Amino acid sequence: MSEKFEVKLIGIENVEQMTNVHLSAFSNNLLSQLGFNVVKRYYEWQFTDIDKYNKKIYALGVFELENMVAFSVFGMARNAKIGFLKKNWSFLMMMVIIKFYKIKFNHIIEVVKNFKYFVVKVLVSSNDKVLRIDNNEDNIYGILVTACKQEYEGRGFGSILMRRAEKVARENKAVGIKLSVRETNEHAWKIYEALGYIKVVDDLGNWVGNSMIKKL
Amino acid sequence: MKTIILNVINEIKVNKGLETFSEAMISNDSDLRNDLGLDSLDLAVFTVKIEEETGVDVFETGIVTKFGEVLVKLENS
Repeated sequence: MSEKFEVKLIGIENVEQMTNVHLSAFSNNLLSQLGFNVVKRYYEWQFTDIDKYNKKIYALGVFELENMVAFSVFGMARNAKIGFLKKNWSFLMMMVIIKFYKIKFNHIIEVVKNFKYFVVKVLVSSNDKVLRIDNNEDNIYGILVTACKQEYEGRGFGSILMRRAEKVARENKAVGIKLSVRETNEHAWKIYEALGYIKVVDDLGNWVGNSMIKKL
Repeated sequence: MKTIILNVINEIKVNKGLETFSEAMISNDSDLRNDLGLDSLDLAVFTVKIEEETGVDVFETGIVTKFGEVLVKLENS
């Protein structure tokens, strides 16, 4: 067996390494544009606030010796970014103002286009709704994020982490596992399809909310 | 077992319109990614197909990167 890479359970003590992986994997996303401390706070929040709802969050990392090269966070909560936005609204607004020069035009367009969605989700809904705690959804797990450092892409670490997540979900009697992926990220959603995930579609066959689900 | 692994790899290659491998072209040291050209999507398909064929998740107890390591996992399961 290859001893170079190892999969381990990770926790809040690994947040700085997770942040570095996130910044490498998603260098262009809005959270990354806001900087290391914002991304770090996002993952700290995942390990702390979501746990307050007694919904266990799991995280697994792929390590090359002590260096984390990929990770996945999953569990009984979904829509983590909206929950994070709601709980950290003022901090994020301050960071947006400070880092405004770094925010790309396409991110501004995206926020404007989704303004109604943000208002409803962030300002109006309760925390429970924001976090989509799935008491009524027959124990469906969600994959909050799977990230891999750019220089380690193409080695199948994402698939390995996803399958481990599915195993944990099955052990916890979950009947399904869900994720969301950008439609433009064709490489990612094709991998998810290969792993058995199917797109959630409406009656007209339109892809709903960029969601994919796998029956366990 | 060697034939099963090779067949799965070749099925992936055929689906992509690429040339297949013969047994003689593969050794236990062949790296799935660098020597056999499996990318992340191929590796996802590979894992699922191997499990379908053998019932074994080769990545369940560790990360394997070489043909021979997959073989050992299957033979020891």
